[in-house]
Amino acid sequence: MGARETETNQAKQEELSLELDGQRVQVVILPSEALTDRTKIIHCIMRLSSLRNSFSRVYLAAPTLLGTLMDSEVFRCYGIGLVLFDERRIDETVRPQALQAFDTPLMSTSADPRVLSELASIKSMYMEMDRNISELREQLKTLQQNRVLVSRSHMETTEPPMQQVLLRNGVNLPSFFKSNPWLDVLSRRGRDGDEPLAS
Amino acid sequence: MALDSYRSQYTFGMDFGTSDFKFGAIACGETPRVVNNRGYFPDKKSVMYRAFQTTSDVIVGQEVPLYLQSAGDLSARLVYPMRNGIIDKADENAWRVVGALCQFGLSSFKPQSANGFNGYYVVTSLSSVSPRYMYERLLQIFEQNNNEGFVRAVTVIPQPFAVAIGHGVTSCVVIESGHGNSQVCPISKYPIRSAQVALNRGGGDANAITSEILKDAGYGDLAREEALVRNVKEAIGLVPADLDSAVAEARKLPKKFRARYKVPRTRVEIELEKDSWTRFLIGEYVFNPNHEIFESYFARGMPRPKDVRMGDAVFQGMLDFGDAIIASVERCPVELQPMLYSEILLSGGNFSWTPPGRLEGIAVDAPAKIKMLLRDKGIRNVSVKMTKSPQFSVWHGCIIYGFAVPDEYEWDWQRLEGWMKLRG
Repeated sequence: MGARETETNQAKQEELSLELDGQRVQVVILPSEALTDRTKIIHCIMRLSSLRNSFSRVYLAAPTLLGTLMDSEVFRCYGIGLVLFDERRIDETVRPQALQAFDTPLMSTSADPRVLSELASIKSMYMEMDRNISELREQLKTLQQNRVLVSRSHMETTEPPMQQVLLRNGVNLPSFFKSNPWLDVLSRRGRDGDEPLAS
Repeated sequence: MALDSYRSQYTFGMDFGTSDFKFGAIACGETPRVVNNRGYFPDKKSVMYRAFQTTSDVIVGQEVPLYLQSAGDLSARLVYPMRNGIIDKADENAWRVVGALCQFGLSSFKPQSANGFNGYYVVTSLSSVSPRYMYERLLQIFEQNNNEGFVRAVTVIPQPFAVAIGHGVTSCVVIESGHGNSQVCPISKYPIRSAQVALNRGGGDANAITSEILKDAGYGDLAREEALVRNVKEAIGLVPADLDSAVAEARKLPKKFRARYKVPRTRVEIELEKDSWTRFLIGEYVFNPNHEIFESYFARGMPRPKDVRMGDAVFQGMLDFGDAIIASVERCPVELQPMLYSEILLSGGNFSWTPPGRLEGIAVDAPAKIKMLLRDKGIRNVSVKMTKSPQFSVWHGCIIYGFAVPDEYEWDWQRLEGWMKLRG
């Protein structure tokens, strides 16, 4: 019971890394003075998103005033915890959703954060690649559809086989006309240069 | 190719079969009209002729029976022009019957003039062994009898070619077998005329052996009536998978192979039990008359199919169907031969054999028999089929030909194809 600060990242004084019940918890702190700075708020939230897959639980710790500005349901949706604080109290308004993969106890507190960061970065790259591939697939599909339309319109301007002519004109002919290859063979009599085998 | 809407209405087909004349415009759909391919030359002094007040020299179509008077008329005045597929050059009566049938056929489909009718595109068909003079004479008949303008353009195509067109196969061997003869005709977009093989054997020969069988079984009186013999042949004839085995089996179990035929609307009944094995002779004789069992029939006077020359073609008498097909295919380019063997089409009433289910394996149908004959000679991987519509496939082919061939493809006496224009 009780969280323990795992390391202090001097560069990120607005974040806390904790270990609680064998799970890694990261808290991103939004200071009071940052409330009026939309960029800072967005930066905080984006930071939280990027940390989501790296820690069991992530929290945003923000002044109570933020709670009146935002619907806390948003945090619940994304599994991010919300802690609101003022001079008198600190409330866990939204409990974070633990990531399964990170529910297993830490192997060692000596895990290289650079490796973890690298992993996060690779994952992010993978997701971007995946997004690009999906976009390319869509473009290819569109291209293929356009190609079919082009070739269809090309066919309509050239001479179609006799069968298509019959179908298009709704000509009602006896059944022995259907799929009969002789219609095309005979329609080319005297036109395509083929002659009977020599007698 | 722009759709010729005119020809989707005004294409006309004529099939001069050995027994029937099938004719009709494209509007007939699947089935043309059918009348006997025959004409009757009435006695102009007879009461019936004067009673009907007709001026025709030759009667064709459904009216013929009205004029028949006695059995004597049948031989003298009733003419079947194409019994053997060929009309003799000098047989004027036969040509007059053909002319009358052409007129009859076209006038049966006289359209309303207000519909923009400017003559039919007429496609007629003749036997594949028809000599050139038959083409000349037939086209002349249309030229000289177009006073009413029924014909805009006319052409003639061989019947096996029409069969291939009607069946929808562009490379194949068509085997037509009718009453008097049979023809093996390879087709590859065009008829390969130089490779055709003709046989002097057809349904009439099966009738002949049936007649002998009836005589041997004690039905000598009935054996003389051609129409009855034909009906008996169709009712009891069987094609054996192997003649020796089939005969042995039938001799061992005559009851199993017993045949009974009752002449409709009479008390006459024909029964073969002890002699039921002879049923297999009828079918075998059509496909292969070379078995020694037939020698006894030849010795007793049954005519042996001879090699004859008719027109430009030699009709082989004793060649079996397997050898005939091989001889024909091997006259074609080597690279075409496998394609030809893979599509063999059988056409004509002489191939209509339906084995009873209980005799499966002993009695077979025509496609199976042909396959066996070819297999025995080392030709495998063949496909043999009956045409989809044995009775009308020639007419179907005529209609498709008439519909599709371009107007500007003119008649050529070398090719023996193309349109002969009779109207603008």
